[in-house]
Amino acid sequence: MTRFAPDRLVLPALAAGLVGLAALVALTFASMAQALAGLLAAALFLLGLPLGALTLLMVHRLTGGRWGAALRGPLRAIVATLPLPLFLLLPVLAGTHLVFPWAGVDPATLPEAVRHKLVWLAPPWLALRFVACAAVWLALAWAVLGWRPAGDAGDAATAARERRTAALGLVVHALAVTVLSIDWMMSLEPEFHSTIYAMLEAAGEVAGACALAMVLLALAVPVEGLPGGGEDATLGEDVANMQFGFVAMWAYLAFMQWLIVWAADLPREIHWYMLRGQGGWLAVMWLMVALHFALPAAGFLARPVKRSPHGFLWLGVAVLAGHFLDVWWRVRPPLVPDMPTALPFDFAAVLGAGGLWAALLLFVLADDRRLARWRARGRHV
Amino acid sequence: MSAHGVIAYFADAGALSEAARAMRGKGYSRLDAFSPYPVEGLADILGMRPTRMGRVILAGAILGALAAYALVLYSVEVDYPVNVGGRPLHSWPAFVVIAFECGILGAALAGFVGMLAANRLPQYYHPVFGAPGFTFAHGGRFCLLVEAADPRFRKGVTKRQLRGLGATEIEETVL
Repeated sequence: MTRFAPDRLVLPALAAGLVGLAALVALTFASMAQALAGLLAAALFLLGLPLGALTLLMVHRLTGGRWGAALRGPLRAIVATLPLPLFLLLPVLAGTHLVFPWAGVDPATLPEAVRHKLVWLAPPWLALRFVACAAVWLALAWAVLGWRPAGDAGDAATAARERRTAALGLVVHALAVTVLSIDWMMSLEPEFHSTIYAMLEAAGEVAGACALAMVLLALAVPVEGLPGGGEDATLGEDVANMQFGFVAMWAYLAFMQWLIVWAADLPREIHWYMLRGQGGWLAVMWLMVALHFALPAAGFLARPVKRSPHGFLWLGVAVLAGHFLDVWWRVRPPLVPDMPTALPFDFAAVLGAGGLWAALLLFVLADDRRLARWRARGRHV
Repeated sequence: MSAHGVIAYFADAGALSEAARAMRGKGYSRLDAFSPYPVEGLADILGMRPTRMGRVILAGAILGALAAYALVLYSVEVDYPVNVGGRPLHSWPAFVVIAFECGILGAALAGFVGMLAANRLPQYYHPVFGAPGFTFAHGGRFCLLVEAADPRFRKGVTKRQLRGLGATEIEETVL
C-alpha cells in the first residue's frame, strides 16, 4: 500500500466536486425537482457523518475507552466538516415546494391525516427548525473540537465541565437529530410515521461515522501497529468490535421497524416498504443489507479478517457504502419511484457534494495544525 | 500405583519457559505446565492447539436457531395452524426473532458445555495433586509435568534432563 497523502488528494477531490456540481446544475434544466432531490439525499448522507462523529466523541467523553482514543483524530476531522453539508441543504430549503409533497399545495388536496400535520410541516417552520438544529450542532462541534485528548484532560474542573457538556450535549443532540429525521426524511411521506425512525437514523450515522474513521485510520497507520488494545488484542481489534456493536444496533432497529410495520400491516405504514420494494429499489435494499449487515457481521466475527489491515479497511468501506445506500434507500424512493431515473441526478449530486466534502475533509486531515489553529483562535485560556 | 509422570519445579516463569522449550526441543510432546499466573507464550511453547471453542459456539448458535425455527414451523404449519389476520402460516419475520434468541442460547450452552469438555471437567482428581510439592501452601510454583505416556519418557533420563535445565525439585506423580 502506498502511503496515504491527503494533501495530494485535495485538488482532485475538489475538481471532481466541481465537475459533479456543474453536471447537477446542467441537470436542473432536465428536472429541477429531481436535481434537488438528488442533492437532498447526498447532503443528508454527508450531514449524517459529522453528526455521528459528534455522537461518538460525546459518548466517549462519558465512557472513556481506548477505542475512542484511536478514533479521535479522524472523528475530529469529520466533525470539522459539519458546516458544508448544512450549507448544501440550503438549495433544498429554497425549493421545498419541489421536494416535499406537503409544501406549496392546496391543503384541501391532502389526506386528512396530513392536513393535521401541517401545523408542524410548514416551510417557514421547517427553515426555523433547521436553523435551530444547525446552531445546536455548530455549537456542539465548537465545544467538542476544543476538548483535549482523554488521557490529557488537564485539571479536574475542566474534565468535569467537559463531561457535563457531553451529557447535556447528547440530550440536545438527540432532540436535534429527531427533528432532522422527522423534517427532512420522514416528512417526504407525510402519511407515514415511525417512532423508531430517529433512532434508526442516529444509529446509522454512528455506524457510518465510525466506518469512515476506520477507513481513515487504516489508511494513515498500519492497524497491527496500533498498540495498547485490550488483553491480547490490538487497538484496531477493539475498534472493530465497537463497530460491530454499532452495526448490530442499526440492524436491530432497522429490523424492528420492519417487523412492527409488517405485523401491523396498516396501509399508510406498509406503503413505506411497498414503495421501496419495487422499481429497482429492492435490489438497492438487498445490497444495503449485504454491505451494512451480512458482510460486516461475518467479517467482524472472523478474527483474522479484523486483525489484518486490509480486512479492517474493507470492513470500513463496506459499512460506509452500506450506510450511503441506507440513507439513499430511505430518502429517495418517494421522490422517484423508479430507481434508474434517479441515477444520473444522484450520481452528479454525490460526485458534486461528496467531492467538495471530501476535499474539505482531506484538507483538515492533511495537517493536524489546521484544526488546532482554527479551533485555538476562539479559546480564551 | 502406576507411574503417571514426573513433575519438576522451577524458580520463576522464565526458567519454566526455557525448560519447556528445551524439553520440546528434545522431542517430548506430552508436557503440561502449571503456574500461579498466565505466562505469556508458554502455551505456544508447549505446542497447544489454538482453541476451537469459536467453532463449537458457532455450531451451537446455528443448531439452536435451526431447532427453534423448526419447532415454530412445525407448530404453525402442522400441529396447530391458525390464520392470523390473513397472514401466511409461515410468517418468517416474526420467527426470526425467536430463532435469533435461541441461537444466542445455543451459543451460550455450547460455550459452557464445550468449555467443560475441552478442560475435561468435571474431574475430581488429577495425579499432580498427589505430588507433595504441588500445593497452594507453597504460594504457587512454576511446575513442568512430563507424562509417562510420552514416547521419549525414561524415568531416570527425564529426571536428569530436568535437573540439568535448572529444576529446583523433582517429584514423581502416580495414578
